Amino acid sequence: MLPEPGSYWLVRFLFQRGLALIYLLAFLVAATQFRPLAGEDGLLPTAEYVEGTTFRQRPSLFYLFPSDRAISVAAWTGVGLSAVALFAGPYWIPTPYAVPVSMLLWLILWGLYQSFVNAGRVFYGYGWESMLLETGFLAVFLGAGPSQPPVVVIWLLKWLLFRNMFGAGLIKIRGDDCWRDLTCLDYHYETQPIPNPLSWFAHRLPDRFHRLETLGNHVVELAVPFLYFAPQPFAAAAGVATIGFQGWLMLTGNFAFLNALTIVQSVALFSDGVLTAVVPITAPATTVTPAWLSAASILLAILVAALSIQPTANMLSRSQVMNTVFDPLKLVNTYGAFGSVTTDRFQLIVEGTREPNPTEADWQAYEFKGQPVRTDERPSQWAPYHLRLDWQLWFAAMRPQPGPRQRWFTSFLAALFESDAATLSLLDSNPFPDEPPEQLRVLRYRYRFTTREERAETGDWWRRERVGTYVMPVSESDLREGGIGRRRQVF
Amino acid sequence: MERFVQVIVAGGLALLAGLWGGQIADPVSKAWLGSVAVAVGGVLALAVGINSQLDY
Repeated sequence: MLPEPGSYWLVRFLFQRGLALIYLLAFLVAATQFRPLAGEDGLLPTAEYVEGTTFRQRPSLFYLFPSDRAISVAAWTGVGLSAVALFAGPYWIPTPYAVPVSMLLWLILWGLYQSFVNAGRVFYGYGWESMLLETGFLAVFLGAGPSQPPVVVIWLLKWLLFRNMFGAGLIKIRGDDCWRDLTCLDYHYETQPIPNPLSWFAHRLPDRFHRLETLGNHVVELAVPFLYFAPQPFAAAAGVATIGFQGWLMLTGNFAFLNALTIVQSVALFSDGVLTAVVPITAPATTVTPAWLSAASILLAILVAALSIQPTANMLSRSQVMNTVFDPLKLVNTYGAFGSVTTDRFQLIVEGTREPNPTEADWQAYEFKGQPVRTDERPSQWAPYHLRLDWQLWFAAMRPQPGPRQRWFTSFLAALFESDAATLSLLDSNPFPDEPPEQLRVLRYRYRFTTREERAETGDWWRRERVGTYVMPVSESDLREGGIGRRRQVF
Repeated sequence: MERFVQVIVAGGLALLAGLWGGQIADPVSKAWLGSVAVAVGGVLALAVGINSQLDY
């Protein structure tokens, strides 16, 4: 038998507050980063998005209003409405209006974020973007006020969490030998996209610990997800295991809001009875779910079931594809993080000089917020905030030279030549505060964490060795006059 | 679908069936004991499915 319909009021309340907080962060990221990345004069200009697609393929407000003003208004509207949701706005208004206002609020948040994801292209090409949209769309149907949430939506959240975790478990087993011989976590903490202050310590844990935690990863991602659909207290126990697992990942790395979002989804694994037993809160007297909301949630369940066919087939397929969407609105998607783990960490170091004939000592490096540059630099904590440029730099560094997905890199260098304030705001430091550099170059290094002995001796966190040149020294006029042929020489 | 996925999915579904069966049946009745057996079988299948892919 299914749990009592009225036993999820607190679950809904907690879930909505958590989701609102993630939306708030996501819109703050959009407000501060979207313009330099994908705005009118961004590294990937909005006009390119408009010319390269149709509204039907990638629906966005910015298809209709491709301007920085529209981007700014949408981002700050999202921040404001997320704050309203965070402080439970719909719960403060008279009962008859609580559910419709809640639906409208969550629908606007979903629509606004959809606009950023679809227009953001490579800078918004992460699995957790579509996951936030899918989670946010389900939130539209949860209701608010004293009425009970529709139980079917709680179960749809469990189904979403199942695809998130089980998909990640399967793609690991299929994707990389190191997940099968239990050695992936020997490398992961060092080579992950943006290490955090505890990554060095996690990397230096004994090998036996890494074997055990890799095995634990398989259990939590491949076995535990089935318990999401079990009766209480088994579902809650699965929730504790999932939250603990995500908490460890949050403690030891910067994965934007992926882990926080998964924790928020995990709230759906509890019931009010379980929550009140462990948290000192009580649910108020509740009323039944409005009939029209129940009917809408059943229609939603039918829609999700129909749209789940392709993602489920993909998840179970031998040729499983990671983080894929199957409909333009990203209503039901397939997920799967870290199917493979790189064993070497490569970094791009962007350097500039004002000297016409520079020696090695004349080059000065730009510093990034999340990617290491100096070897004595302690990795910083950023998650759940998302450093979108830093993530792309990590992908870019995997190749010896820029590939098709690094079209933005030429524009990035051009922006540095212009000392473009918006682009520089994405960086941690600018070594040319007065006048822009005359030349730029990009070197490629292999980085590794220092050993305990090296760290005790020098205080350094990293050791590095140069492995190549990503972009040869180039002047602004070289870059601008280059074209494709010239760019080949430059890179 | 690979064999190990079939085993894991079957094990997970058996675990669920056993847990829900145990929830519905009277404790220590035949149906309850049967449900427990199905759940234990499910756990074993999950373990076998995962272990079959490990090479350490």
